[in-house]
Amino acid sequence: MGSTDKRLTEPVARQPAGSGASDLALIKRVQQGDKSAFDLLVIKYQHKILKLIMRYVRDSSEAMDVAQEAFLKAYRAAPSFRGDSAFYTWLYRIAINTAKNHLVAAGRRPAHYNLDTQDPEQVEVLTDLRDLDTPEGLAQSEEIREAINRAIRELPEELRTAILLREIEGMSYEEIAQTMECPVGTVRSRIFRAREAIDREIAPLL
Amino acid sequence: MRRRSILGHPVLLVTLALVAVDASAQEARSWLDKMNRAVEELNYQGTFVHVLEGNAETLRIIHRREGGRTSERIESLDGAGREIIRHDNQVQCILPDRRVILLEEPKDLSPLVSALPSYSDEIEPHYALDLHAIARVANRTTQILEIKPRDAFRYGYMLWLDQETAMPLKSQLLDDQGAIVEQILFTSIDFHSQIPAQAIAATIDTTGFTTLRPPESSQLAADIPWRAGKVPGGFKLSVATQSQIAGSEYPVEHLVYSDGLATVSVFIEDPHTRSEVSEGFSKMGSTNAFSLTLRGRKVTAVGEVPRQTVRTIASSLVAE
Amino acid sequence: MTEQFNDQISAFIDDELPDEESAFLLRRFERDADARSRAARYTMIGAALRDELVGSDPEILRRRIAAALTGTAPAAQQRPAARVQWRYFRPVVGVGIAATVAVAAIVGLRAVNFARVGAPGGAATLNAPLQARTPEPPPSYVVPREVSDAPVIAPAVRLTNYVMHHSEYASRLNRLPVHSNVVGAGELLPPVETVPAKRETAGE
Repeated sequence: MGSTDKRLTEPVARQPAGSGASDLALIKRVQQGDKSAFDLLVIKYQHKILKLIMRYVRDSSEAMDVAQEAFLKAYRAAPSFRGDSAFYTWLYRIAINTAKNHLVAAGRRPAHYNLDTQDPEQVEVLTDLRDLDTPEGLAQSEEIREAINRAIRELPEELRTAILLREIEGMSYEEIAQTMECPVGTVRSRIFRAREAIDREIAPLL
Repeated sequence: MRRRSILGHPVLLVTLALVAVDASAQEARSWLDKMNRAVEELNYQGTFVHVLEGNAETLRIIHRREGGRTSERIESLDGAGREIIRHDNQVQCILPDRRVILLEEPKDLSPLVSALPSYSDEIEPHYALDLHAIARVANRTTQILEIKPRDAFRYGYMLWLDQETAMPLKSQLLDDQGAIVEQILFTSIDFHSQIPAQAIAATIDTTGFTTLRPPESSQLAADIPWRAGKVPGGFKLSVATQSQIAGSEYPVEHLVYSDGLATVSVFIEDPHTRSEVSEGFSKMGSTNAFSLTLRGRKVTAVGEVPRQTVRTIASSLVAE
Repeated sequence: MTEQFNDQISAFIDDELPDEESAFLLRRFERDADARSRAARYTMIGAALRDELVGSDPEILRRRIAAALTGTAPAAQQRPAARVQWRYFRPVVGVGIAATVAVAAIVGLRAVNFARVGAPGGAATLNAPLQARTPEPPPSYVVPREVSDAPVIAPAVRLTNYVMHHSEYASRLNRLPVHSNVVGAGELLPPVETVPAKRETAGE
């Protein structure tokens, strides 16, 4: 299991900025049986979790199965979530364990068992994930990516800056406001208008 | 005069070979007995993976033995958050996903049942015990022991027994084709001379949980007239009792057949019972069940044996 | 859908929506699938920018999870054919008294569609001795004491009980798998039978 001078460290989830209160409100609703609240948590984290799982399970359709299993486990375990950690941290751990167990069940060793970084999300995925898709499927996702990139390029600079600081740098509205030297309300508005512009491009594709 | 080499003597050769085999089988049985004791009597904690039908779960176990009494806690590490805590025969099963605690009280088993089976010569005709290679599991050296059924009426086992303690660090249940039905694999394990009692305490806040317990069972062993007319070799009746089944107005008669390793239960319902059990086969992981109606009574056999075994036993039931 | 509402969705997915607005939005999300789809598209934008999109359909995982969460049988259903197969039921292989409790946990309770199994408040606490008991005569651990009027999906309860009783007498060799099946987060059972909703009372 790797060279002896590497410490096996438990990966630590990089917590998305500002997500604590909102996730807690959602998980409490889930605990009361609100499935739509869980749907919102899926919306928030499905892409992150799927990408995380793909670091262990290379095949995208297999990763999809594992991601589904991880979310369903989280749903079933929601009553036992006590809020000691952030919801995403908890979900992150479930996803990793589910991915590793999947590999064990399939007789494979987890590919990243020897990670010596604290945060696997920093690690580059070694293969181009899109190569694993079918040509037909590639066309649609590539189309969506291109539509988003095109829309981003066409945005006014202040909207583009705001949304990139938010989505790529993970900054909070407050941090963006300081960076762009404008009020928080303006940041919120700019990000919203950026999303609206991009949404007009991608909504017809979905 | 030419000396006769002992190696050329056919009878002696065969005898030596048989002695060797017998010694090996005896050593294998000895390993099994040690394993049986280790599982119950050692202090240990570890993490293991349980694999069934392609699904894997990660769990942790803490097992404590103190003053001749055993306690144990097993918890899921995969998010379900369930725990089982056992103190001798009293078991507490905590299900946070259902907000329920299930309590199981000790039952007086029939005196026909051995509480701690020993793997005696009785299993020899039906299982071949073989010691195989040495292998590493959870960073420990293990002895591989195979329990191979001699017929298709029972499952086999492959065990990786820790050389130092005989603890099964990896175990596989194998069907009659040799395919793995289920397996347990320790990824880490530590043995201790002592484990504090608080290590066994539940970690889940059960405030607001509902506590449930099973109904009482009465045991009237002497009055059970039913017996299986046909059982695979080695299966002997070890229990005959009567039990109250939840939701049923009438008690059910319960027979247990065992070959020393595998066990099959047969349940015979009262003719007035409006049975819910569908006829035919059912499969529950590695447990098979078969049900049919005989003389107006629903008969159901269940056990961790292949399908034909439960069908054979259930179908052969007669009243003595 | 107003621009103001869409703006709230945008702030919500960034966790930047004030609590009072969040509460209103969450209630709206409960009944407005279009609002959730918009939230999904907004998060997809970020995922695409971070190269997190996997597969051909960015929404397929969400649809599969939603289907899995709601994909139980409708209320009225034919009884299944004689051959019943519980592919997802965790095995009861193994030993010990714990197994009976275990199987009840897995089958008797899990398959009941989140119906209440008795009033809370009578539970044993963690620090209480294991002999803690509820004051009333104990209900069956398989038949819920109280069920809602919604249809209940239940497995063949009697067979479950048989497996539970059987497991008390099974071989010690398989004890750990039994316990593992109890505590493991197993699959929800597919509906085997559906029974009309009925009210169960304690001791029935």
